[in-house]
Amino acid sequence: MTDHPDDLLHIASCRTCRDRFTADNVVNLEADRHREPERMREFLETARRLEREREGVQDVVARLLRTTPPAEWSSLAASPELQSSAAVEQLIEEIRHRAERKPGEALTLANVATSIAEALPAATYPPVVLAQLRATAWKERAHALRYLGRTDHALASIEKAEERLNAFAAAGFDRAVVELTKARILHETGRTDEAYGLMRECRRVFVEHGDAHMLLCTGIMEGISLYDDGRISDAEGVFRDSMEVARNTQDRESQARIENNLGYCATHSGDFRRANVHFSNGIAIFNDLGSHAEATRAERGAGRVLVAKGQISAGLAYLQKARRAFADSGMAEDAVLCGVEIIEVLIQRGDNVPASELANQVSEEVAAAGLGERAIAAFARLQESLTEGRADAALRVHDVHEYLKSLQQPASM
Amino acid sequence: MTAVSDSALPQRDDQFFEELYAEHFDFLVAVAARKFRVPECDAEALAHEVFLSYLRKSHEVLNIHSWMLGAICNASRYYWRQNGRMVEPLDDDKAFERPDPTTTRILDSLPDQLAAREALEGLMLRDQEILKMRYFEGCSIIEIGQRLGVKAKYAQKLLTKVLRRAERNYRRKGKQR
Repeated sequence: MTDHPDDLLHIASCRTCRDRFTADNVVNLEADRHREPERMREFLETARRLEREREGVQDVVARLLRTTPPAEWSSLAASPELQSSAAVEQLIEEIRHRAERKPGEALTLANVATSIAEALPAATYPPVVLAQLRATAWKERAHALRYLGRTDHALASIEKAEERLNAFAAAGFDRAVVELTKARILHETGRTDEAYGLMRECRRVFVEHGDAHMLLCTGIMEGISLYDDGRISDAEGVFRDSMEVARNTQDRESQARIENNLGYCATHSGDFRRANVHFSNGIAIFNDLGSHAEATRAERGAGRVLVAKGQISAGLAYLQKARRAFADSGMAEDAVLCGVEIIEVLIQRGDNVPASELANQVSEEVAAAGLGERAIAAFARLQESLTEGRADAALRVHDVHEYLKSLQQPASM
Repeated sequence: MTAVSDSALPQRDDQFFEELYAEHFDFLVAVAARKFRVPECDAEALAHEVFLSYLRKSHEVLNIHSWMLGAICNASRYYWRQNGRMVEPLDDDKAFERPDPTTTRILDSLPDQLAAREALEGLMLRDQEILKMRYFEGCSIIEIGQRLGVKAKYAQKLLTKVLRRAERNYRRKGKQR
């Protein structure tokens, strides 16, 4: 044996120790291994096939989606070019890109992906590979349904994914990925204990597989869920653990997100100095990484939460910075929305003159951005209220805010 | 955790997959068979399934050794969860004809067994969990530490303490009988 009798990970990665461990622990290695060449052949053939199918599939799927009107995407389930594992994998990528902004489209594609995956003949791939593919397609369908608010259907879809994997002991990693989506849905439906139980189990599986990326996803998700449930100190603990993982693996993007989340936690705990440090760290890392849009969103988030907690000056500073950055990068809608949020704060503070000036400016931006007649009319009413010093200005700005926000909502089915 | 130096994905060609299988197959079988007591023929099937399930993840897995090891440990535990309860029902007549050899002198060992059970049941739930992880699920000290959210060194200390506590309970129960 080795000097590390209990460290299987060391044995797994060190060839000498691995060979010694294997020789010490498996009796009759050479005997009764009639099936081994067949297994090796199956493994290599599957590996070759999957790699071959992946070549060029991205272009094929992109072309089909481009040339087929979205209303007819359902017909793609019968497309001969998409009858492979790689095509389903690529469709799944497309679903992931759309899930948040266009969940309706994502659901249509998820239906196509599940249809194809379920229809692939059993002999095409080894059963476990086929099960993984089907389970992932069902899981993505659940994800799209979740974004559409159809949680019952989403849970039914998740159950399908679980069923596909049940028979395969080695699909533990895939099972955990499916359970993570389930945990998110359960949390949203108020079944928080079950959700946290699943998240803990997922975390254990990802640690066991040494997958820092999924571990971080789980940690951040758990932290956000705890934060949403008002368990701020628990959330902070989870974020701190995750930060350790992100630092060890030099995952800078996750570090930025966690810093931002720690900023939210500190704000809720009333430690505004610490919150400011975390927010600044997060924004600086996003900027270092060149993710300027993310940095600006983080600034806006910091501004909102600080204002909500009564730290008006600090919050306004973040919001104004975010508004400038949105405008500079041509994100007119976001710049306008940020402007409205600032006007709201100014009115609440009784600063009607600067609020009116900003409303004028934002109104022009609304017209230039082509956000619609309704928005322009709403701004005109707001300016009228502000100029006349009417008490309904706060209500008016709230209406404008809600209306502009509704323009940003993803399109529903 | 995944080391940063592993972050470059290896070139995945025929040779890579062949070497991967050849180098790790026996090791995975050994882990399933030795650490988790999975019967060797089933351990081979599990190891093979681990390799196949890796193929869909091969573009994402950064540390193959760690992933393979995690997958076989997880698969072995799942195997026992699925198969542990699938024991064929006992045929009463046959049982009388051929008594189970482990029960022939049961009266001699029963008091000890009962004392052992009571000793274990007298432990706190967390202590019972630690013993279950170590001796039933076959977890390593590191794994126990990870599951409990403590360092391996502390997990080792906890295990030693739990064993001492169990031993004390056992002696006390034994004396009472």
